[in-house]
Amino acid sequence: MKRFASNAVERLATTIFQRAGSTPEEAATIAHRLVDANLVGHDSHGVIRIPQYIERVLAKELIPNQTIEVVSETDVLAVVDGRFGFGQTVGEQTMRLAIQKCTHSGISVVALRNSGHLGRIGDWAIMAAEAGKISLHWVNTSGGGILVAPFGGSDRRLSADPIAAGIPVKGGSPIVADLSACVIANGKIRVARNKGVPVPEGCLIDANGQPTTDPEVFYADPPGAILPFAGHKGFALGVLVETLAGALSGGGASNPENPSAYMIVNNMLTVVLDPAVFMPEASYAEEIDRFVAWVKGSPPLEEGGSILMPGEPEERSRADRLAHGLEIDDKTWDQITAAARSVGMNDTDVIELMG
Amino acid sequence: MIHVDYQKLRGLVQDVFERAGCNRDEAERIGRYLVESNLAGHDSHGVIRVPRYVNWLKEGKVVANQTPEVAMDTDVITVVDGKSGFGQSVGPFAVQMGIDKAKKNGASIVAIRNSGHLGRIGDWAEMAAAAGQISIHFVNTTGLGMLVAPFGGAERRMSTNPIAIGVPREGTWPLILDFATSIVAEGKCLVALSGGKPLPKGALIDGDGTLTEDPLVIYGKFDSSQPLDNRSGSGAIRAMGEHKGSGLSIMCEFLGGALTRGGAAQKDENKLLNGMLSIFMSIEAFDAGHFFGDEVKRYVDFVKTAKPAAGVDEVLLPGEPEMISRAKRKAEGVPLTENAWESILETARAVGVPESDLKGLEV
Repeated sequence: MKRFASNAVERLATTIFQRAGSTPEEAATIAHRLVDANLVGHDSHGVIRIPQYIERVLAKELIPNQTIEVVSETDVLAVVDGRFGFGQTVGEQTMRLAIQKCTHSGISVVALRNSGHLGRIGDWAIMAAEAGKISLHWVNTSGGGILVAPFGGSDRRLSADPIAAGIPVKGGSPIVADLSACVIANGKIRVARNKGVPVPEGCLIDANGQPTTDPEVFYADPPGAILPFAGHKGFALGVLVETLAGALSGGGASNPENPSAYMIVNNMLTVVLDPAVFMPEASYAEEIDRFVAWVKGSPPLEEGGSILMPGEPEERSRADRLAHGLEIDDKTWDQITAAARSVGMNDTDVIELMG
Repeated sequence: MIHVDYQKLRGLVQDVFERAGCNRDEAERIGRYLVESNLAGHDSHGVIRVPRYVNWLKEGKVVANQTPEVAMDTDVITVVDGKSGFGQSVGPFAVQMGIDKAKKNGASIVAIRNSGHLGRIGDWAEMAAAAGQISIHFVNTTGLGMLVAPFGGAERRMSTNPIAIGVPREGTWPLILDFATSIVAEGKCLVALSGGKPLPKGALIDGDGTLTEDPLVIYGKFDSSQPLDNRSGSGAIRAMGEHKGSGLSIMCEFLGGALTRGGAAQKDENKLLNGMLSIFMSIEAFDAGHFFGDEVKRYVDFVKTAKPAAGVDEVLLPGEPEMISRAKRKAEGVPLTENAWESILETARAVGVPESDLKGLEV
């Protein structure tokens, strides 16, 4: 286990993506979003993804410096194609479009298809919240991320199918719920495997449908599967996410036969709402503040504990990790330095960048 | 368990509400939607609610024959104030406006506030699906239905806050997701209390933080001569899926409550009012390539052909258990516990339904 200052990791990541062909701006954006995922405690969506992204760029499955194609649009909705560009770029362009339409019409609905990995979906809710907007997001993969068994089933039929929602808070951090429809994120299994520790009970089944805590089972042949969260409810959510994000965008619901199934292609349906259209700013702020205080007033189950609003654990983690640095396990660090070498960097470059 | 013919049950409920002061159309809708919940297998939102609805009507907590007010009306946004009218009237009125606008403009949002109980939220997703549209619904109550503890907390702060999503399919029944963001809906506690299906283990938390499945922690006591009050207990229902469901529930309060201006949950409310934020999408507006219909069909087949887990016959799609239940109950009658049936008959007698009309309803 190593501990690094987050800005040093961000510097290294920026250089790696630049060497892989991204413009300085795109490289900085990708690095910033990945390191931010680590800062907020979502290591599964952080720099652990660098090796995977680089591998895909080198295989020409992920294309640097893409611009979204607007397939169709009206004042209130749009269908856009990410043309297999980096999700960090494509997602930002898509959200800019959705926010702009919402500012015009009060609401907007944008379906994005064929994006590279969109990273932590909460990022897009935060981006909308920073523009004063409420947003909702449903995300699937077209086939490269089929990981989850149906409720009552024993082999993989669904993506992790994350959803996110963001509520802007005047003068504070937005309230952001960001959750996958399965019990555990794929990346968290990878983190457990790299650390050599078991995953919690109730998350995984093996290829025979039997419960297990061994992360290796997930990578076996034939592979195990992740379970949906909250049983039939999470399964239903997953099926509908596949339909909303995949089928409606044109990118496709999970499909092993999809021509792009060997890539990690994300599709996302986004709904953006402008609270200012529904009520005066002061009334909105007052009701949000009242309800937050009310929820936080529920007596905590643990002595000395506190009720955290969605997004609050992330903000706490950010403060802690900005101060104390990011922990990266040895295996992940080795994979990152190998990725750096694969784009022509040598160990001295890495050491210099890490200061 | 008693089985009642579903058409006769509809007729009885309609009669009860006509006698209680609703006009014929409204009473017909209440009968249809409540019995539809029973047919779908969601007994918690079915005719078990009749005594409570009638009490609320008497107490002026819900208003018969109310005309909802359209508080905001743009090409794509509708805000409807239900003015405490029956949800079975406010719901169809507002949802139809959402469908019409999405048909014209591709997508629309409807915010409903101050509606009487909106019943089974899947109804509204089914209504949009029947019009060929995708819809998404987030619901809260202003406080009377406050029953759910936030993740990590021991006291009630949210309502059971259902979410529904509907997706139409060509030539067959729609996919319908419809669930409370709590482990169980309140109605399921009612069902358990009156001797029906017990609650899942650990679905509830009592006032001092211990997990339980005893519905008395919600209602305090069970005295069949007294109306039940879910505010009498010191316990709470837990959110589904730990922090995830808690997060979804909180979002329902913001979307269904704060944004609609009906209000997120607060204490000391004595009326059950629902708020609902609904999103409607016309498939054609997004799907220029005519990809959607075939893709949903392909994906549904892919999910259905998953290898079933040990002890499971078949993977069921969202909305499929309801379809199966509907067929069975139309044929065999709607099962009701003796307690539930007796309290419905009691209510019917109280509003003046003649004894002769209460005979021969059972299958």
